[in-house]
Amino acid sequence: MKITVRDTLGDLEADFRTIARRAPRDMAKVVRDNAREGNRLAKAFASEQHTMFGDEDITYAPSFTVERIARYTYEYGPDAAIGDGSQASGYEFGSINSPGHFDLARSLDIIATQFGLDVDDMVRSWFWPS
Amino acid sequence: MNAADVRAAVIALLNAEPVTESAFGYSTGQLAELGERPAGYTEVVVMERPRPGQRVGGAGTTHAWRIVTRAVGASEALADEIRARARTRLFEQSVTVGDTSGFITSPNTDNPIAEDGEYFSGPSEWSLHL
Repeated sequence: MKITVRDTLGDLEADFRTIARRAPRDMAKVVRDNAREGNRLAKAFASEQHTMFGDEDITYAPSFTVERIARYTYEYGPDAAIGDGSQASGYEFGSINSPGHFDLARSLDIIATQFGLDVDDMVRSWFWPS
Repeated sequence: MNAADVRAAVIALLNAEPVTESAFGYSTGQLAELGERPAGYTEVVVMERPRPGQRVGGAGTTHAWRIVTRAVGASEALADEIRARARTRLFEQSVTVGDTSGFITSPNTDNPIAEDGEYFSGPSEWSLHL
């Protein structure tokens, strides 16, 4: 059996054109999906603290939102304008009388992993589409 | 190795010789035992971050830890001084727990010193890989 693979620079050029077209959309999607996932996790941690373990400031968790602030930049977390969102710094880091909850820091620990993997997958998919 | 071991090592670093001032690093439990809070101190909280296998490029047996130091002072100036003192003692210092050593990296986040009940306090977050 003999396998012959032929490729030309024309194909490479076509690939690059496709990548240039797809990249902005794919990158925006990876950032958006991870920001949403981070917010979902942080909100779940906050909700655990404020509804499962207590009933103080139950509108703290619902104040977590995701916002696109630039093309590839998203921001997530408690919104000071919604419910108890303004209590954020106290809840996140705690005070001398109450321990911090670290909802955002813990969510970051988790999405930091997925974010890296997603970027990897994205770049791979440009060259080897599944 | 667990969070309590790492916390003890960090507190030992804060209170290490030569001490030109009184010991100022405490765990939450030690503070509760003191009864009355010192005029200025640093509260140390340690949390383990996701295991190596869950991190991108994570291999081997390195564990990541989140160290939170809360600089507390009866006045803003004292809290500032406590934070600076803790920084000198922790920044890029080597920590040994059992037979593993690692370095504390610069603060990931340094929140402003703000009024906290009758005190002024501000948390700083550090990373340590052991």
